[in-house]
Amino acid sequence: MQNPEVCREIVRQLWPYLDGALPDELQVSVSEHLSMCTNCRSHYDFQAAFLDAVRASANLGDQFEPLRARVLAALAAEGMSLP
Amino acid sequence: MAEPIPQSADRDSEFARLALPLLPVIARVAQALTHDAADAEDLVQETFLKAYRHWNTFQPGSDPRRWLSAIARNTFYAQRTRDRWVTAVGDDLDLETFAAVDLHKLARDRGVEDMFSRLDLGPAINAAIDALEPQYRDVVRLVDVEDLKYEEAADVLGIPLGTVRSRLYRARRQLQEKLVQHAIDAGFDTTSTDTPDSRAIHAKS
Repeated sequence: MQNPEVCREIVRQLWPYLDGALPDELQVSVSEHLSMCTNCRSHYDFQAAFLDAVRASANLGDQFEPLRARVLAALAAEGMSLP
Repeated sequence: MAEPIPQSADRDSEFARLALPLLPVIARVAQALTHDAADAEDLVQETFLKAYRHWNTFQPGSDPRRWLSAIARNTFYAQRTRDRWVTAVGDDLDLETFAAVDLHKLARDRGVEDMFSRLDLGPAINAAIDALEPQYRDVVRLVDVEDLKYEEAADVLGIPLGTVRSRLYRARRQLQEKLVQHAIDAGFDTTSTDTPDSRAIHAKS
């Protein structure tokens, strides 16, 4: 049975863990705990799925085409050989 | 004998290879700085022009995204006075972190815990991000959409690292609240009457 205080501390680190913002040692500690604690693992899975969904929702290509065309025209006027 | 490739052709091809693909992320940076679509476009154009003119100062092997972001930020601050955001942000990271856990528990209790894999939430996520207050929307777009590190976002926005984290965690919690409610409203919670029509509309293909 996991220590609730340990789980609480692990949960506090979930966002920076998912963002790769923890020091290496702490990153490893969180990984090890998540491999053993199903409750904390379920929190991690939910947050990770959320972040994946947010990243997947970005629709970058089409919306920036007019701006890209404008910037390329400006660079061409500057003398750049366009690809 | 073939003529040697002019220096400018190599320079241009390297600029096209390394800098031009970063236009979307610099556009996001510009939007976060200016909070005005037209000003953001102007800033993007000026940034790339400056970058092109000073491409010889870019250190090969260094991070072009960071280099371009710095140009955008310096250009912005040199050109105009930045309005200070007056925020009423609660900087309690623990509060936001554990609120997110409570939200997960709610989602689990209502049977929508797996909503991110079962539902096409793209439009709902975009709408929810657009509806965030600007200071929260900026950090989500820079960190979660454009994959900037906390430190990079802090540099771009000119705010402390801790403020990036507190705004980001609060923004994520706000987004999750809206998405969980969206899933429940769409009839995907297991505690409501099954609605095949709504499932068909919202389910992933």
